[in-house]
Amino acid sequence: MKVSPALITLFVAMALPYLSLMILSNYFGYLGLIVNTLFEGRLYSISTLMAIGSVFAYVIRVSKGSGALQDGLIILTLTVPVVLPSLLMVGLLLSPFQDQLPKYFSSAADLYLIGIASLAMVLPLLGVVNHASVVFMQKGSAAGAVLMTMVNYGLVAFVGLAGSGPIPAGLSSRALQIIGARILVDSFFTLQSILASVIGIPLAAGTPRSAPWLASPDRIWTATLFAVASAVYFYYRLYQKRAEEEGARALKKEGGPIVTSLHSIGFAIFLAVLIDTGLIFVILFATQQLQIAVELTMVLAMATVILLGFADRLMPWWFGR
Amino acid sequence: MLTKRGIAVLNSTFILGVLASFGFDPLFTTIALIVVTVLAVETMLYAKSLRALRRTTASRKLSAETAFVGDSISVDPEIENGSRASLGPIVVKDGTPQGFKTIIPNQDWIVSIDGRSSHLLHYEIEPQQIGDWNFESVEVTLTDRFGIFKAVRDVSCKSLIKVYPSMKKGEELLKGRIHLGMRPIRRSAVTTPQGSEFSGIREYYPTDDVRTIAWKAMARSPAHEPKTKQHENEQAINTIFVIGNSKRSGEGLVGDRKLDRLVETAIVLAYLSLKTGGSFHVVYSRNGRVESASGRPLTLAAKLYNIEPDPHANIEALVRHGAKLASSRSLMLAAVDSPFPQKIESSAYKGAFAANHFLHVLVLETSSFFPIESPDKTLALARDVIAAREIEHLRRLIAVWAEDGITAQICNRQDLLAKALEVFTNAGVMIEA
Repeated sequence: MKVSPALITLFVAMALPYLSLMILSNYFGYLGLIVNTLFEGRLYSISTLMAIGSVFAYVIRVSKGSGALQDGLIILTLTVPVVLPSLLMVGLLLSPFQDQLPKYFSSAADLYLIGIASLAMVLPLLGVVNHASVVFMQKGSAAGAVLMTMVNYGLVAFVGLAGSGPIPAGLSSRALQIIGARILVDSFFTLQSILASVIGIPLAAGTPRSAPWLASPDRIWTATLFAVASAVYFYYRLYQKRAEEEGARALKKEGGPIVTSLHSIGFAIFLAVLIDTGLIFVILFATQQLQIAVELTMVLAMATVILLGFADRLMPWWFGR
Repeated sequence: MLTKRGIAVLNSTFILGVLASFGFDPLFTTIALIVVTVLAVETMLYAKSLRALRRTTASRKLSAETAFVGDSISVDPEIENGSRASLGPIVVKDGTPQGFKTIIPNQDWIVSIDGRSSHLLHYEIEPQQIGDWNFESVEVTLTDRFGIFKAVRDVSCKSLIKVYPSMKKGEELLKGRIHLGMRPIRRSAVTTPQGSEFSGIREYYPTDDVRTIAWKAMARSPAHEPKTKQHENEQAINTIFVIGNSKRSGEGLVGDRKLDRLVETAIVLAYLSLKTGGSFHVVYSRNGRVESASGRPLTLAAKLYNIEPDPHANIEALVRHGAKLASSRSLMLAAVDSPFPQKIESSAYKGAFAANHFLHVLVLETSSFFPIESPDKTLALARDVIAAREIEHLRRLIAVWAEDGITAQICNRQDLLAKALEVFTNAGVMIEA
């Protein structure tokens, strides 16, 4: 793994939207709830332990690669928080303590909720590890690294939204139960909203919780940095790597083709932003709807890529071949 | 043309765009839009460069027009952008013929060549195989910075280089052989000092010339009996080397073909002949015609460097022609190949016997010219089976020849030269026998 300072800078810039959201949405406070619950020393502490363990298991999986032990650890740590209550229930059914089963049902619900909440809360951390591995190990597609930011952002927002309502002071496990319940409700609401938009039926009443941090003005800066970093990452990932494959001598002499053609890369990004702005304004002027203007501009850009890409086949006379 | 990488990039960018559009946050839509537009801009720049690619020309400078195997040659192809628009990024790859090993890579990624300007690429090669070699063209691959599209154009740019066989090995081997005193000569005892070397002193016979009496030896002897100085007459042996460049003589690895080994042997023998005084002739076939060459090693190298496998090569004609080139009782070395199931009849060599030459045939073992170094046991086993079959075939062939009085031996890629030298240096003894 070749981790250069430039790549670290790019990664931080690309991760900035969800890193800032983690701070704004009090995400680290929620992680504290998991740690506190772990030290409460109750049955549900096993769920939180496994949730925390899943992060370490995933780090090992990423650094050492796939293997029976690594994969087994991931499966174990990710399934126990959700499967543990069911396992205990089956165990009680098969044991001589069947009469204790009604008493277990009430605590099983808590176990489920805490397990779900712990798992949902560590998922963004797993996403960060995955994102870092995608960027540093240069795995998957270049667009995949950009997409990972969106996924992680969504996961952090999801956790932040679940924790944004009033939470009673006291035991951390109680707070986790409430957040777990909200995560379930929000999941159903999200599913409902997707189905409603697909089928075309009116949506039922939404979640009463609000998330003011989603409208924070800081997001403009983080998003801008993310946009520029994503564009530069595209060059780093595709241009630099391709030049390396082709054995570019400039790599040895002048620090790489990106450095040697920094001015033209800057020009390309500047031109891209200029074209976008122009098109968005033109379409906005015509339709008076920003969403349509942005989406139409994207469709036009994609069409340009496809059309010009096939142009050298479609119009051989133009290229003289 | 869209590349595989390009298809993957466009697919993933398309998914990014769709997800961003249907996502919950409009900011992500804008970001996806910028990424997609950057792709579009690069595509437009690529399309612009395509026109410049059409007007691209190339030239090439070689540090030498003739070289010997093992030399180092500088090659400087120059790509000129004839249009006003810039060209790039491009991957320039010079069409180096297969007979060369590249010491410095013959390709480079060039970020951009400005309009009406040129770019010089420098690399070095080492000739490995003899012959006339043509550098036909320079391959210019235009691409975008992301490698999504690719357009390849072979820009014509011809250069010719002659590669002669290496002379170093001949010189080195020559020194070793002469030092050991192994020389291809016929010796006969004579008492005439002219053109001969002193070999010892013997008793005086009444018919001996008084001028050959060794006075000092006579004075040292107790009875003062006359002694006679004896001289040895050395007669250098003439050599004819027949190269049976059949249609399969081009088999083998680059620079290590049967022909390469045969020409190398011819050059070394030429060196030895030059030092020992005997004449040396090489006979070979070119386009169905028998040709011969003789002279100094360098002259021979200039004649033999572009020898090629000849489907019309006729061993009988080569031997017959070669037999006429030197006086009788010369050494005729015929190097031929006869891979299974081909056969060469004994009658092919009758020309050598008719001229009263001493003929020795070196038969090349074809399988040794295809070294397979692989850890794969199945492959190694297959190689051994083929080699064993080939050697058995040649043994039977040699046995048939032996019945007609032809001496021959099997030579492989490594020992051809050594065996040829052995025959050459022992020729005097063998001819006398």
